[in-house]
Amino acid sequence: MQNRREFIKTSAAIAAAASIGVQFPSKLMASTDTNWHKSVCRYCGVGCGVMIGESGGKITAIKGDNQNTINNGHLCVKAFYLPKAVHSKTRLLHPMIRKNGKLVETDWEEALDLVAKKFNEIRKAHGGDALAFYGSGQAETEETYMANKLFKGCIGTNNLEGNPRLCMASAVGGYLSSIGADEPVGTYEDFEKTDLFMLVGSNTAEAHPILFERIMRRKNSNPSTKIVIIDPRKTPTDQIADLHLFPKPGYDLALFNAIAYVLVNEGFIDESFIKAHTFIKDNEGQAHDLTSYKEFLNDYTPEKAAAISGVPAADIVKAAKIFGNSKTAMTLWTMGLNQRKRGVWANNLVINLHLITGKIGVPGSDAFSLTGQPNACGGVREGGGLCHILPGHRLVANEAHRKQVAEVWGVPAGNIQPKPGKHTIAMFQGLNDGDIKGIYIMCTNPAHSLPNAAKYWKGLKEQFVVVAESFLPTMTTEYADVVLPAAFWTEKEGVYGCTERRSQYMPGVIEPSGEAKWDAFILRDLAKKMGFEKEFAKYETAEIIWDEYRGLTKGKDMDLMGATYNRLKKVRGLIWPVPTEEHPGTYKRFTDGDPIYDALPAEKKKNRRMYFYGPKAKDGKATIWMRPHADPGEPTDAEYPIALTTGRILEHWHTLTMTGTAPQLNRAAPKAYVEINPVDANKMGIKNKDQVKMETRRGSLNIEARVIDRPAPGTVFVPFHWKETPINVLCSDIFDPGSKEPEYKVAAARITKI
Amino acid sequence: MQNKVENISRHKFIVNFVQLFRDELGKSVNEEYKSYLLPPGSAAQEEYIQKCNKCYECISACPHEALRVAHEMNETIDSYPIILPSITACNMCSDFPCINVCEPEALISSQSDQPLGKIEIVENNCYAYNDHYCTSCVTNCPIGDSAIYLDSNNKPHINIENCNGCGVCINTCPAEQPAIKIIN
Repeated sequence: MQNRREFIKTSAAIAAAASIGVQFPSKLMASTDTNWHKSVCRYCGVGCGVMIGESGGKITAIKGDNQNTINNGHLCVKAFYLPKAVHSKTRLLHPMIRKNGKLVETDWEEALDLVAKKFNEIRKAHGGDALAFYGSGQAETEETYMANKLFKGCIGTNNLEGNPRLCMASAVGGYLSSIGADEPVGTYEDFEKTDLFMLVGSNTAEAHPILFERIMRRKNSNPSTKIVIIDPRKTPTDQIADLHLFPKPGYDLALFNAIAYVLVNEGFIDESFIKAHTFIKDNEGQAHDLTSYKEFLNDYTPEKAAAISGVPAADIVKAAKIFGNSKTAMTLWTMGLNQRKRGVWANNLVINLHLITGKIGVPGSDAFSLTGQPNACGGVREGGGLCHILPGHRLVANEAHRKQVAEVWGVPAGNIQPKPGKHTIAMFQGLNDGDIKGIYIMCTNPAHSLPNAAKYWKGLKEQFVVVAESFLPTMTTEYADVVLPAAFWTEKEGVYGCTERRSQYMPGVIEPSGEAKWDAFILRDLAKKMGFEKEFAKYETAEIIWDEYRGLTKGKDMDLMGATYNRLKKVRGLIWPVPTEEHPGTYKRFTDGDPIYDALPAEKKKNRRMYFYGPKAKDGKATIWMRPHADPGEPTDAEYPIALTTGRILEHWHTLTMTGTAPQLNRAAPKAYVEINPVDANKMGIKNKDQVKMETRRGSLNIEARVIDRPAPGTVFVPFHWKETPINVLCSDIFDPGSKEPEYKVAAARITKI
Repeated sequence: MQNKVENISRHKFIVNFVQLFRDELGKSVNEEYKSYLLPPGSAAQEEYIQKCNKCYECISACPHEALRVAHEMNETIDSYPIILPSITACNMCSDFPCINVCEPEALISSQSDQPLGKIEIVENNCYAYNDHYCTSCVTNCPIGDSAIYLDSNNKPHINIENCNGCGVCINTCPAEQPAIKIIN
């Protein structure tokens, strides 16, 4: 919102800039005709508040919302170029159908008729489980909700997944098994209160830049704040590190246990917290006492962990002592911990450190998972957008849960299947095998982003594929039989829920481009054409969908009853539980100030400061897990001696459908490269900018070498954004047996100079 | 649609006023956009021009197509080999094929450790100085933290002592108007 005073300030700045011969592009572009609308950034899971500048039906500028407490007016460089994505030439404007091998323009009627007819034929001939839906952590909560109702409630299949399976599933599994409830206990507010940031498998500076700024500000204003990084690669985040441990990719589980070993043996643990608030369990779920936990840890001395992980024992002790001596501590993690064959265990072991020291549930202390996508938490984890869950942290396996949801959906309770559907990798394998004959893919690009991607192109080629997308072409639309133009961010309203349990409203400020339609309405109209007229008749506005979903959260640990559209339009988001319209939202769960905790009877809170009331917790207790070390799924060997790890860079996002529309970002980061440590490069005779051949057991590709002291020797890193160099084809699709999340972060590779 | 806020069109005249200068601004920006570097191993521009016989062997030798013929830059340098870092920066090859092929010794090995130019940040154009988190110049600098670095507020600074003037930062800068320029 730009008031007069701000405008004058801006004008003065422009004048000052003009006087020295340069201009502020954002401020000059945002002329006086611009209307500013409060919204949320389209990119990562941080949830930065943006002001969208709209003028004459076009998005002309984006600036940070200085009233939003997440980012205080700051944004990263990606966000600045979002208007280019909205009005890009690559926007898909009309429905398209593949005819004689080519996608040709058609109208909505024909396109949806075809999809409805095909889906109904498949359903009739092969049953509902021959259909599948693959969604996105970038879809709005309302969109995922519509898909959920259509597939789980009406078609009657739980084959409904989303790409958060590829990034956050291990964190969900970790939280559920450790503290009994998904998502963090605290919020970003803890960043300004903590004495230690331990960043595990997170390149915060590039993947969550605005949170990194907050970490830096905390360190600047409070220089005693410590930063410890655990990551096989030195990243731009290292500019503030006090200590960096470099475990070999996939060999850090022993390291976490060794840190616990030091904490236990140096007297840093909080025995009274452990006693009152936790169970201790072994890998089979058997209960143990503290003594046997200590015995278990004796197997993980720093020396032993050093031998496994490659991190010097002295550094492990040092990190543990920093953790123990810090009055408060935040552990932040992302894909480095999640995209692993034992991602859930890795999450458990990190949360253990907070449970044994009592560094949880107090200001400045938390085990805090950073989410990658803007609505992975809101739409998919909370909204039930995976094959085993239902809206409002419910489970398909739970009969009462199925009943509650079926009632609200107005479908027979028996429609929702009790058995979880196929998880992401199984789903795409199902397409390969022909078990799944039709799939609806919304707002994501699996042909590019799946691990071992080429393996799954077969099924996409052979089966009936519908893709609802805002951009064309993507690697996935190459395989589509029908492509439906989806309205993009700023062209539709809806809610995004970010990393810190905060739900924020986004307005639709311009008309959809071309014939594009809102995804939720595409699904609604498809449902009607499939014969579910009655079930989908009521969904005329986004608010109706949101209100129905909101009703399903009533009384749940993620209570959103107080988050009405009316209220969300005024405030900068609300942090659940927020049970009533008067409630301000909750900073810390499971403790004083949490409305659900406060309402608990006094005897439950006796002798304790936290009560873990989440759906998977018993007796209000969290669980300290005795998880053994496990090696990665594909260790390096003589044939493939180098560990390949993949990730992201600041300038780009995912598969480039959005950031690829800004020439400036393409110039800054034009193509893929492999980062090779100079030690390794020397051995292999590789020079900077040489073309090299990278091979894994799944394929090979040619790529430019960047010889740089970032990955530790023995490890190489490739960003995954470019379809010209799709590194995911080389990634391993081995997945965590618990979370079903694939191990993108470790593959055995070899490199040769071309 | 929703959330319309107060329109400030009555101040439109100020913007029109500013726009009068837009063309001029654009021109000056373009001049900067055309800022160039001399090839590795060259002496100061005057001496370089004297020695170079415009055989363009260095341009053919450059494996990264970073060297090109100056065109419509300024009368002095036009038609001589230069580097336009906004298009392609110098790779600073360890064996300097451009120097090796230079017969008239306009480019000489003993000068190959001299910076190709002096780099300066234009704070007004730089995102990091204008509430955006952007570190492209620093992360892409082939020298690492020692030539261009972030201060504790994430604003980039150049350490002229360590900078070899390769121009990668200029090439990589995602700002709409060039936020890094060459000063001569």
